[in-house]
Amino acid sequence: MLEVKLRDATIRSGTYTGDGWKLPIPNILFPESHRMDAPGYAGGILKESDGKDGLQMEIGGTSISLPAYSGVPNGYDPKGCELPNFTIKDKIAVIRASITDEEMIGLREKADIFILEGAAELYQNPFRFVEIMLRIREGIGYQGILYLPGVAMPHNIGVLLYLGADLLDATRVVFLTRKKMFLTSDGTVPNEDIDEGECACRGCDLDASANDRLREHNFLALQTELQQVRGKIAKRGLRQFIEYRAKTSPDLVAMLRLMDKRYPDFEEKRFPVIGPEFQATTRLSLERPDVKRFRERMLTRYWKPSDPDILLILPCSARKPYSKSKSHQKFREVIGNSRVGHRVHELIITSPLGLVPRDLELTYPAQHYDIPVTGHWYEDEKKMINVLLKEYLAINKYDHIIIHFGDDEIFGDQEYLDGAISTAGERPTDAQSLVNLQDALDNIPLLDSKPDWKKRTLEEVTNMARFQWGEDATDIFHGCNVKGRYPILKIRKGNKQLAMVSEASGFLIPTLDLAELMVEKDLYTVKMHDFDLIGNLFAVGVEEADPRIRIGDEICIIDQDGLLRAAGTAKMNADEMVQSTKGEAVRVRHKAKV
Amino acid sequence: MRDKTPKTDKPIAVWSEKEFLNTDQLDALVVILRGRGCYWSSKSGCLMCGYSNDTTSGITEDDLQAQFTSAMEKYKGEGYVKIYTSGSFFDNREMTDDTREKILVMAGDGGKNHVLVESRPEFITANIIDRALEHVSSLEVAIGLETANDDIRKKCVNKGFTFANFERAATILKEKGVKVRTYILLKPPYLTERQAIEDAVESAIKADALSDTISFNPINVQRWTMVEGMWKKGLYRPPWLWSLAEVLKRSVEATDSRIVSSPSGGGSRRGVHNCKKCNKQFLEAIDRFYVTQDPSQLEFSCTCKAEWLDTLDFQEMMGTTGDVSKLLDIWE
Repeated sequence: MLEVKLRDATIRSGTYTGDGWKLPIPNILFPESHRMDAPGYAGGILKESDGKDGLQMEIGGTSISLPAYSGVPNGYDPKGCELPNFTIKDKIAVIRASITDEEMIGLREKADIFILEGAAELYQNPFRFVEIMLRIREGIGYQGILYLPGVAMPHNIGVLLYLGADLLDATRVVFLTRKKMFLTSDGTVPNEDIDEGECACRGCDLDASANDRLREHNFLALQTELQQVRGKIAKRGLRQFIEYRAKTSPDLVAMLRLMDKRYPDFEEKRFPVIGPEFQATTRLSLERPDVKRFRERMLTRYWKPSDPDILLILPCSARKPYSKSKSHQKFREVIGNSRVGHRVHELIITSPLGLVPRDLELTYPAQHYDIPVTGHWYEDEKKMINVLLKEYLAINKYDHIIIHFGDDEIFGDQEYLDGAISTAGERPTDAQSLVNLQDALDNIPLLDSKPDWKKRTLEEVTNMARFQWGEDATDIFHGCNVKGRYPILKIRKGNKQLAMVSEASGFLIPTLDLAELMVEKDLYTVKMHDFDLIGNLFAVGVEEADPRIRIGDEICIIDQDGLLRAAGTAKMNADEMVQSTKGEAVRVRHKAKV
Repeated sequence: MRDKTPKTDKPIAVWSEKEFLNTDQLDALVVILRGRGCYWSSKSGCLMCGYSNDTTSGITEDDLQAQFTSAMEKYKGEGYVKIYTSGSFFDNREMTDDTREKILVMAGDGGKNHVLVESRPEFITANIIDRALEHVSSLEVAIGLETANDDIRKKCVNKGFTFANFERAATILKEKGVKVRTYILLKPPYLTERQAIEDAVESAIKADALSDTISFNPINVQRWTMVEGMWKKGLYRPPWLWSLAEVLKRSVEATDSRIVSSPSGGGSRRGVHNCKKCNKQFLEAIDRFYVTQDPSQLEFSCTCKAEWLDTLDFQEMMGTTGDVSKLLDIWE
């Protein structure tokens, strides 16, 4: 049985426990024959069975025989010969790409490890490979271990795991070695192009035949990459890492791009809603699932505060949150000194996030990304920003738009911005630009209105809540008040505290009182089986879960009667906690008194 | 422009080659007739067979007789005549009794020649063999058994008959004193290089008792076949010459039959091949082995041997029966 301990991006790590053996995942099996020993660091060994036919895995001294392959490549089924899509033996299944969704669902109970026959053949075509991989990953479920034979190389391990593999092997590396290829995390080059001294690994230093030396180098490169990915799962830096690695080969970029463009739901479901800082340095970062999720929520879960009628468009800052940066402090000083300052709503334009309203500047990933700022924008970025801004303005109405941005050319001749005033020169923070901004604000006719900061602050906090839990969360916060000094904010209703804002993620951390209100609205609830909840909630105890739940979400645990039992943080998404029988599903923060 | 319409009154090919009869070396006339085609090929078809490309449905009895008459113009008293129809010589759909008798009479040349024809087992009956023996004193029938393993023959060849069918036919031939030449396919699709070797050797051992000669046919990728489709996508590789040599060595040790192979397309990408450095000397050695039956003639060394050994050891672990080299997708 598989127990997943850590997750990041679409990748997970954990341990599979078989009958007297344990296999950590992700992992790499190394081949062995009478002519070649597997390296000592191999997490598992592939060898011929002691009997005549078939293969076996050797994990920590235990031999596990594998079902036989059909030998038939996908799409070339023999004539007049019924060929099953899978064969199964002792909880291990060999599956073919033609396996149906129904067959896979049926296999979930019967098999733990799924070996995709012909993976090396499918890998030739990124389109087919991505399609088949994601279908199989979904089909076999979260509890299934997916083993891809014959595809792993140091530079593609990350992408293979990102596509849903758990287990790989070093067979391809053996053959590439025989073809005199030198492998690194950057890709595959002919060994003859490598000069002595270019690599300091212990394989290259081996006193052995040229082939053995190269093989050991290649094996070490493979194992090193595996261990690096494992480390990144814990540190949660995988998407960025995968983007770097993908760029070593057009096929890998193609796979990642296809996944991002064609199967966004697969990724979105698995990506945590909060995370650490990351670098958005490649064009692939534009399609980061958590970034896309932010852009999507901007249009579906965000409403501008009701009073402000002046939209001020600002550039982003390197320092996060933006309001802590010198540039934004200068802008805010001008706004603060203006008589219409309370009517201003600030909207930061940035890549890859698109639009970040001031009231969401804490919300992941608004304060967690770093980009190169040069004043030059890719057409993709310009298009993304204009599409978003146009849609945003169709939903959120302002009487006045001031663009204090600097790189106005990114807006081109957009009709939807007709009437907007542009105030910044090349440098939005220089004196002239700031004076222009001040003048523009001064030129806006005064209204007979008084600032209502209480209302404004509550609307801003409500926006954060809505961003987090969706539109249904809006009503809960009617009549609440917000205490504290930004960014340390507490939300109260009457004499009850409902939540506080996490400065690190912009997320609201609910108290049991808020959790009660969420349960009334069926918001982000997990229904547990009938037992006494002690400590955290494990997947085995989960009966149902709100399908919106993602890793990192603040959620409520309810019992069979629908009563609140606890509030906590999701460690799995909804599908995984329902499907799985092992592992922590919810880290409990507050337990309700029953 | 070349006229692409096949001449129906001329055979596809005629040539003379070295052959053995018992222990005597002699010349053999080989005649490839343009026939109507194998019935099985139009009904279902073997996965590797492209011989239907060499057949024409409108061939008449007169055409066949004319073809053979034309072929015999090249006859120089070889003593051995091999007749291939890209089908079954004993299938009445391919020729009438009358045509068959006329061809055999010409080929037998008044009892001077040993005659070899090819047929699927279902057409080999006591009756038809008796009739053939009225015209030919020394007859040999070649049967494309392909493998002695019924599962592999069904799945990987789609041959449409069983080992029992072969046994029945070969027993009739043996009883009538007709020699049996058994063709065994080396490396049908869906097998790894290692599995292909094992299957070929096991087949030779199983077919030995009913065979006089066992001839290994390493797959030659023929046009418009399923195997060609797989080959083009890197999903099939013809066997290595190393494998053929291994099969010949092991079979000659393990059987009493004469063990031979005349690989078509040998050394090319579509045929049995190793590397450019050793293809030629290997093929020459296999030709020599045809004569000497001496396994030591098949001992070689070449740098490509390590890659072949890796293929034997690790191809199955890679989870593919395809062409490992091509699947690696490296620029060479």
